[in-house]
Amino acid sequence: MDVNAVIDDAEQKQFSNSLVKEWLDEVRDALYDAEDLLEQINYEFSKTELKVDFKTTPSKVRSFESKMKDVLDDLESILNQKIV
Amino acid sequence: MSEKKVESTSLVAEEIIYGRDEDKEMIFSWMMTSNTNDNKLSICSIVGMGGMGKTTLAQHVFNDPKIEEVGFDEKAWVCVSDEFDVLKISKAIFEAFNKSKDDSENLEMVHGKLKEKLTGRKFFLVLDDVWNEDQHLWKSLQTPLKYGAMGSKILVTTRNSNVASIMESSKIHQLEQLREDHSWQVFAKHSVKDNSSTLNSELKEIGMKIVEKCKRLPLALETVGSLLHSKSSVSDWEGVLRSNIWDLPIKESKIIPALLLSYFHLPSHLKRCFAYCALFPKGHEFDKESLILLWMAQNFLHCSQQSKSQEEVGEQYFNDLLSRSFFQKSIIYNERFFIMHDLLNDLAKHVSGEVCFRLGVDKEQRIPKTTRHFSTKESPVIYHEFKSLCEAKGLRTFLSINGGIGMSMQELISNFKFLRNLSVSYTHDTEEVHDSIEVPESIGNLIHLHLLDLSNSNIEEVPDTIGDLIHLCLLNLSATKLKEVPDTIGNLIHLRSLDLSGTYIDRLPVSTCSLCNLQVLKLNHCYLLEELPSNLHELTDLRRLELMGTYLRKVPPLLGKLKNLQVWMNSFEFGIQQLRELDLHGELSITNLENIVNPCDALAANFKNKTHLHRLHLEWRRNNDDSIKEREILENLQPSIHLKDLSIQGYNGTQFPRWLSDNSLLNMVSLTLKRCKYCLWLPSLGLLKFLKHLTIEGLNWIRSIDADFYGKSSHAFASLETLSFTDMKELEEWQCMRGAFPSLQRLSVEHCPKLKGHLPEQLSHLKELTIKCCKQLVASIPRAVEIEDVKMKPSSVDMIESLVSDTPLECLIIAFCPGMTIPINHCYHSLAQLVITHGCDSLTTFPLELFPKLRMLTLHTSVVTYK
Repeated sequence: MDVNAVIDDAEQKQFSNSLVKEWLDEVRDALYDAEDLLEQINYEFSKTELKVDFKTTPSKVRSFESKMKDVLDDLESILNQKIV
Repeated sequence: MSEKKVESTSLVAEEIIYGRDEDKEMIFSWMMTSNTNDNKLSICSIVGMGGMGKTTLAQHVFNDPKIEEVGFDEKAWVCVSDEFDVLKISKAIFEAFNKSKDDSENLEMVHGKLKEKLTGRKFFLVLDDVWNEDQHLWKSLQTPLKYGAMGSKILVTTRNSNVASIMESSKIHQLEQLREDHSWQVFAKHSVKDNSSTLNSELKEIGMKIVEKCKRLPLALETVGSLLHSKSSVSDWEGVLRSNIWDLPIKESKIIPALLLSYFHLPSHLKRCFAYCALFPKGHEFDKESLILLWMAQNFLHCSQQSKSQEEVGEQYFNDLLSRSFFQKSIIYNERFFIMHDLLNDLAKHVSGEVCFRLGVDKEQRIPKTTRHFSTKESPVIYHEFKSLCEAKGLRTFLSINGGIGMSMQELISNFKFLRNLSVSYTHDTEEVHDSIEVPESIGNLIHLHLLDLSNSNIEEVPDTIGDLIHLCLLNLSATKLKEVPDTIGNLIHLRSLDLSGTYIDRLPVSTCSLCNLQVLKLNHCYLLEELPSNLHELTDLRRLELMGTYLRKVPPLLGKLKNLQVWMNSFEFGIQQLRELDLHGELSITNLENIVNPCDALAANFKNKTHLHRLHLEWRRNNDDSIKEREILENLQPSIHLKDLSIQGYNGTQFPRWLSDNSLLNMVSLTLKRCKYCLWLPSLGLLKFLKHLTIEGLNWIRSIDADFYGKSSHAFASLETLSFTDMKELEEWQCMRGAFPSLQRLSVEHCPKLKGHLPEQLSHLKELTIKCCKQLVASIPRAVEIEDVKMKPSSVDMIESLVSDTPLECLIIAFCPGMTIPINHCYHSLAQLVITHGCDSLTTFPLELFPKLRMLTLHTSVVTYK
């Protein structure tokens, strides 16, 4: 299903159903986190591009990897709740 | 194209008010009646629910020309809102009456000033949106207001009738829902595409049903109407009508369905922008540019067309929200500002939920961890819940409107790594919370920062690490104590706006020129700034350069290459021809025209095409007595027809330039001619129909003011309000023309020792007259009906009796006029201040009963006995 349609639907329902509102808030929060992470990666990337800073890269990449996994897990569990 | 349309609809919406004629009538009739009980304030309260149009009605009363007929001496508008702090409101009232900022710190001081301001004055005050139900607070606030003259009126708007009764309103006016026909008019006004077309019958039928659902509430009708403005198909209108939002239970959320509906119909990019405005406290006035920058810092502005700049996209978003009535123009004092209706502010807060937190407004005990945007209006440390902010690790916005940051900068930086917007602007009345801010090196860790505003704080330096903030698009360090800008600033390649106004910097690093996205550079009042980097023209996107109040001596030579650049500067010294290509805005002052070697350079500067230059000051400081060359230079400096304010000083030519006399400066409002001591004739100015102020001083060779001066018109100087002649050593004759100066309010003639004969006789709007040191002037005072203020020093002018008997003269000062007589055979009804020093020898008795309003009397060395 189209995400926008789900969100639109949820936005309207949130006023009559507090569970929907809670769910929406969680989605929003998880998306904020995801966005923050992407920006961080983007920043590091542009920095290494500038400085050709190879040494730190592998550990940074690993840390991003684990953070990204967290964020994705969050999102997935929230989206699963919707189906229930 | 679309932009223009928005403007016009919003203006029309403000100009017309439907279905409130009777209410307005009622308020005006209350205004006209004089109160019987003179110890009580006359208050009218407009009571009605939110969205009923109370404020709009009050605004229409406030701005109605009819109000002039009531004859108030002072009027003021104050938005009170739900916090009733007597000191703050008293201050706001005083500032509104006084039209300037005030820095009093305690209530006694403010009340003293307010009392002084209002004593004996008939005032009209609007207190908008009052919530206070505590009578003591109101009693305290009204103390100084009681000193106003009889007939003073206070108009209050409130949602709560209790408020109206504790204020002891002499009239309570319940504002009701609109009638059905008026409801339709409001709806149609906003929904119909252009004024001429009408709705087809099918749409009209659906529209009628929608109007019904809006429950005849003006705000609902306006918002839903605006929503349908962009939709023209029957199915769209049906969709709005059938929406189940109309049926939502509104009790607990207090949100009006019509507004919610409008919100849901916003495209998602506008939803975000609107929800972000939940950061603003209620009644907060904001300007368009700052809001667009806030949005930009949040990455809200996206554009499908590559060609559009982020600013243009922001402008479009803003206008879309404005045209949908989510924002309104603040129409009372400053048209540049906008405001959100309280109910829309509630809506924004409602839809943004925990994401936005306003300290001191939102009443939760803790700040939610999930808060992303935080704002405070006061020093945050006074709220205990402020501590819990530190747990909101994902904070993106820290907006302190007036209160500092409440922690050290170091703490702030380590707590909130994801900040995009850090905006801590102080205003000057917050001295007490002026905690000292130091910007630590760790500022460079805030890699997400898009907007950094530390204006008005007392920082003295910024570390090099500021160059690590590569996403920064706005940096405002204005009015700080900054002495130096680090070279690393050149790394901030996304920077669009840099404001360093009012700092102590003496130069800009050369690296500034690599800020390839910079559009706005403000350096106003940087007194120590001596020059700009010579390659400033490399900033190819630069659109606005502000250099007002600086002592820069020259402009970078190639600056004129930047085609879209607007320059605000007010002085410069060398190389006038370099101004040729610059699109100068605002005002310019050139104070050393003697430096121009070749008159052709003046022509090359091309002033005639500088259509945005509104004020021009031209001055020769040194006397090189090359009269012909100076005349040629001035002739070549002909300004554009759009010039409003011109001042020429120290000019040594014998004739004024042709362009001054031939009406080519048709739009001129103010003209000053000083120390042009060799000019033989005054220019012909009588046909400048917008000229309001004319000052002529030190033109030593002028002997006569003759018919040429008036431009041979029977209504010469149609708009002139202020006229002054000073230091005219040879002036002997003033030829008066019948019908000239019909609007003159202030006339001053000083130090014209040879002037004989008459002053213009019939000046019916004259309010202030000053005559000093014109020993040979034996004229009588002009006949005027409005005269309020007369000041005289050595002169032998006669007072004619009509002046003092029939006019509202309030102040009369006579000094060193021994021959002057003051008629003492009738009453001086309005005279409040009388000063006679060394004059009026004939006055031997002083009958006090002829001066019922006299508050101040000064008599020096006149032999007078009191009766």
